[in-house]
Amino acid sequence: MELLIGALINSLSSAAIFALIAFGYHLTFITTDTLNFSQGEFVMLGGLIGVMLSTSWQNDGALSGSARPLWNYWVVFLISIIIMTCAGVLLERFVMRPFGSGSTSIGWIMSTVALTFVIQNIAETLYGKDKQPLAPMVDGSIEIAGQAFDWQKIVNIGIVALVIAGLQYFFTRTMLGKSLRAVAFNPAAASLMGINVNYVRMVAFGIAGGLTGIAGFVLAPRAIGGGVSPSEPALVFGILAFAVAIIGGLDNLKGIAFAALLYSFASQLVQQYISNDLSRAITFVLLIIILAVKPTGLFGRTLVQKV
Amino acid sequence: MATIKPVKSTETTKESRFVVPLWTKDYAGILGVGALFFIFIFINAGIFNNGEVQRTELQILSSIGVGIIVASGLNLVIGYIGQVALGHAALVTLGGYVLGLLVARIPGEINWIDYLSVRVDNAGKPLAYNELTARESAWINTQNLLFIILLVLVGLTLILGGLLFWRYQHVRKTGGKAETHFWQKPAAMRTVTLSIWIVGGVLSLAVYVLTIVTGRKSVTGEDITDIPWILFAVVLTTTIVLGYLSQVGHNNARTYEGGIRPSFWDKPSWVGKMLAWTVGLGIVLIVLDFCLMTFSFQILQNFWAAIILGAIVTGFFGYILALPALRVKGPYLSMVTIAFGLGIYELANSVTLRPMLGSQSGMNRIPFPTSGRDPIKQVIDQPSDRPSANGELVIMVIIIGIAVVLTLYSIRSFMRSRWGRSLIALRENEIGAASVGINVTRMKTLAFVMSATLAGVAGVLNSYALSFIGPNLAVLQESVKYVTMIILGGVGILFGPVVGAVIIGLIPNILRRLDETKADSLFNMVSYIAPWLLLALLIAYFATRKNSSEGLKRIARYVLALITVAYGAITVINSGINFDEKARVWSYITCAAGAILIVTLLVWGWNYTKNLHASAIFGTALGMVVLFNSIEVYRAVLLAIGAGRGIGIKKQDIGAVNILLVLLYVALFIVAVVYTPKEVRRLTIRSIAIGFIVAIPGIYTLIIGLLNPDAPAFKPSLVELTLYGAILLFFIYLVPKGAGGLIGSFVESYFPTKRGIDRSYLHRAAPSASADAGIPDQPATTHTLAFHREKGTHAEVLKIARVTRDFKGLRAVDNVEMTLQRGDIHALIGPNGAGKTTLLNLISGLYAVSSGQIFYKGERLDGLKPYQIANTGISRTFQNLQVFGDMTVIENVMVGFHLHTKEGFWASLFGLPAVRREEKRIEAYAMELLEFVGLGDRAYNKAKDLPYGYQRLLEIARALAVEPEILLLDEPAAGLNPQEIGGMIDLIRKIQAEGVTVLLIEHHMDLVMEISEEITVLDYGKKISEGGPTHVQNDQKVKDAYFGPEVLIDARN
Repeated sequence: MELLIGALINSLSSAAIFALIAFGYHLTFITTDTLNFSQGEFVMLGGLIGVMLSTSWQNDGALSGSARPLWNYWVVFLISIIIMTCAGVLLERFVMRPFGSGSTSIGWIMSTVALTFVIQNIAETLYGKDKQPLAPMVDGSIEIAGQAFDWQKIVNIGIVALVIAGLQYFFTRTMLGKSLRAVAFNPAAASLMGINVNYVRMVAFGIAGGLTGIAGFVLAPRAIGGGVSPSEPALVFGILAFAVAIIGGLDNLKGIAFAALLYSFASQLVQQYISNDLSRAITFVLLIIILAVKPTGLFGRTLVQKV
Repeated sequence: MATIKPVKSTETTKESRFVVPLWTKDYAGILGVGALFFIFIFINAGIFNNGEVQRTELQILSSIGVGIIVASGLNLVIGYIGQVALGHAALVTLGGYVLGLLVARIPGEINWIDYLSVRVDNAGKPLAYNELTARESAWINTQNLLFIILLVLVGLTLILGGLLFWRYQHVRKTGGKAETHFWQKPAAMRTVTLSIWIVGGVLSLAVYVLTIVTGRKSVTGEDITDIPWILFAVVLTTTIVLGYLSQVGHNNARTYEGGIRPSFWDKPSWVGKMLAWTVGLGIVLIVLDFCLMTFSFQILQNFWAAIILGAIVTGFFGYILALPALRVKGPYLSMVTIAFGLGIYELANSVTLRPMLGSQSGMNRIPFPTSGRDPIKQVIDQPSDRPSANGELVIMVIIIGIAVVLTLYSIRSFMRSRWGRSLIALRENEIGAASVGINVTRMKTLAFVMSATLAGVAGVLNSYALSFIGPNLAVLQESVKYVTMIILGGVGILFGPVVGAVIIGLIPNILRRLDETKADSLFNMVSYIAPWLLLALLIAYFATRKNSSEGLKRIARYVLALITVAYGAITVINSGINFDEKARVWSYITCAAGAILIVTLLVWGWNYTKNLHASAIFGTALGMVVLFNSIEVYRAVLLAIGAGRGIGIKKQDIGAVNILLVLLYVALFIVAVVYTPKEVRRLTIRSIAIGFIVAIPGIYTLIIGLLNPDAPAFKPSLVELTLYGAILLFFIYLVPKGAGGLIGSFVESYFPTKRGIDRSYLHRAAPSASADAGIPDQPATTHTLAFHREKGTHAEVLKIARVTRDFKGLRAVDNVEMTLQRGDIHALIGPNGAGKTTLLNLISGLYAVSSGQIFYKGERLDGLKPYQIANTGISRTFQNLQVFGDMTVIENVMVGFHLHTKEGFWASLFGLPAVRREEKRIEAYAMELLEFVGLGDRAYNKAKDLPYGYQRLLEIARALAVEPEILLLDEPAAGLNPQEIGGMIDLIRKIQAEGVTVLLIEHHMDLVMEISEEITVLDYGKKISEGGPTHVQNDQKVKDAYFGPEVLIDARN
């Protein structure tokens, strides 16, 4: 029982991160049929903004994480979310829209992949390849069922619960959320109903960007062995989250949340019982198998082609 | 919008004497590429250089060659499937690891193969490598090789079994009408085949096990021969072949009734085929033996084995990847291939597998195929940093050069055959492609597997040339590099990958060289070279852009020439000056040249176009490029705020000239932004976008300088990735057809492609290939078409029995019964939403029936896929036109002949003469068909440029090319004017006269009433009336359906 609770809390906490990133994919996919391939880099950027703002410049000019944040932690968090939201909006306007959209164009795929390189390259030149950890949001740990858990993990779960609740509220109770769903369902009809489709798409990308800001912060704290690295791992998070989104079905919010949990739990088991360094490879095999069986994911709906 | 679509040049308006046939151009290009490649090899191999071999240059050449091979394959995926694969570097790495596993050893580790063939000394202790004799270690490798071959064969057999099983499931579902398969054959036949396979498999395994056992003993020094291995190979391959051949007799006896096309083995000439197969297998065995022998003597260590195995393994993985990802459109393929790349990286990097794959450090010291050294010995004997001999590297690069030429040749042949044509067709329109019998999924998978196989072969060559294979070759950046090559060179253009690979292949090297000397001034160098290149590209873009005015085009060409001359002159002038000075001189010259260019262009632009705005913007765009790239701007800014000490910016660096230049540029920028009229704002924004992309290195300097005034000197290679990103964005956004496309347009404008039909091919049909396939033995010589699909005797050619189709609660077609009489024109009418088109989609297989059956000449039709239905002899046109827009009209019709061309895959790949003849022949046939429908003079227009009505005619011609027994026309007269409708009536009559049964949906009642023998009326999915025109016209139910009940309208009076 104790083991189970431990595994559950651990996987909930890591599922939280995947779900946050995957929600971003979901939001933009349903509204524009596109994804941001540099989502992983956005997460890294979100975390790095936190590192940057909570870092004091050393005298020798080297950039290194400092123990003393310059500003209050939560203020930094908020700033990061705002910046990433803006980044999402800018992405839609300048990286997505000019390069064509929808599943028939490959322009946007390549433009976001190109962005991946630019972000990664610049971040790496500034911060090097090492992980940049953040101070945890909340220090200390809590004892549940005889085991100690960092508060950070609990906070992560709480944040994601809040985000899900917020998204749910946004989609069902607000006019903007409803118009977002309308655009997702039929952009042409939505625009005939007076909805500014471009605006709604920007909102979707903005929210997705904001989510990556949150994800970066949730991912980065030192307490959970986290930290954002300008090099490869951030991208891996983007891909793993995509795997999660695919498994759950890109067009199904709850499916994604469930898939994130499923994946985290499974990877905990794999890491514990099979092999630590092969767990990702196993995930990718799983992803390909699921796509082979059901291309639209476990909970996705299948589309009928019209002639 | 900047969607990436391959663009074929169509500028043929210019009068020119140099009209060149297409194949001449292609072959000239391939020969040119090959010649250049080999000239560079010979230069660097020291022929003109006192025998001094330039190793670095040769390695760059080899990496460019590998890039060309991989990108050419990838071009099939991006250009024709229309999806981006981002895992080709992983496939290349996979090929490399296949080679590595065959020939490389990880020092201090026992190779996985060694577990299977451990040699022991007399006391039973395993022998160390250096205790083995050369002969013994070679023996181990032989064994390894054959073991792998065995594994692959077993794997292939399993796959084959799986496929057969899958097909069986499929065939069972479809009622087994499409093709006859293994599991449908009589039980006795199955038993024979299976027992041959099982016995043979067991036998070959036994041989293998026996040899392992004897092999263990033979270490003591007994003489060993290759005989058991050859025996083993012979037994296994013969088994498989015999197993297959045992089915031939049965298939051959099958009848062709039902219009189903016979499959490969059904041909009367199957004996010949069998002989061919046997000879082919014999050759394979000889090659295998050759490999073994040469391998034993260490002449061509595993070269062929590695190439073949690399191709098979990567092809297999390509198949696995293609299977799920190609089923859905969108970003899935990209993400899945990225995931695949990460998976390969993780595997290769994994600590668990270190003994096998060498983890992070990979496998190095892969011997050259010609080195003649024993790989095992080499690990022990050779110091880790001992470079391999120069001569071997030269030979390796020559091998790569040959591979490049072969790749280009075979891809060219492939793309100019029926296979390539159907690939292009499915890129343009999948539904249209399926409607003429192209198996879309299979073609896509084929293209993907081809590209994967090429990547594997390239990977093997690459690892030979590098003497190394490691996980870092599999990262996403490498994959994107290949994609960048294609986008840079031009998507879907044959020579695009060549252009792209050359440019991309040179970049890292230039950057690395720049790193070596003083960074600051060299960084300047980069930024001064870049604007020249970008200027040239930008101008080339304007010069070839469709909607540029003639004046603008002319200016662009002049300026392009000017830049080339200026660049050459500056290079000459600078060659004597030392490097730092050069950079400085360059800086001033660039700035001055930028200003002069702007002024010149303003003047020229005004003179030629009389359009001040256009010229102003054009000039400003160029100015922006220079502005954002000018390091002086950043110097000034950094100096002003006291930053940038670390990158060596000093007070004296900024002079009055620079400040003036900066001010000039800023002023121009403001003018551009403020005075841009609406019509050209888009262009201005684009120009500024270029400016920003070009500015990336400069902005980068600025950021670094701002963040840390004392930051260490900048290394150009640090921005390598950013550079790739910038190139990608630049080309996708501004030059969608790529540099190769631009070059192609230039070539096309000076050497237009020769076009024309050789009608003599009409009289040179190849009856042997078409005797039973429906292609006329006596070719048509008049404009009357001869349809040679074997017609059955069924009077009721199509029977629809109680067919229903539901769409989630909406019953679109409700229990419809209908029969088509042979030779009739049968119309299907009804108000909008009556379910007419749905019914047509059910017949042509686009939708599955919810219940009920459709019979075609007494056989079940429902459940078949659209391409299978086209195969049986039913073709159709579409209400929403599904033409292949970017192909020419005649190519559209040639696609229609897909089912009636028999060019095999390998024949097409090798570009055999028979393939060329058949191409010519169907081109002539297509022309006949176009003349039949009245589009003869439009043959070389692009389909999308045709007026609406002509596109309808084109669809009919394409559908007729399938040589159908039943032609389904979905609103052929929609959008036509009365005169055109008259023509359509004549055309449909002509088609009927050819013996084709026509089912027609139409809203033009006069057309329907005039030509139909039988009319079926649908309303709300139900059949409400049926009969001749007069019967239907007088049917009250029909009147009610059209005009509503209770209302009596006589529209005619």
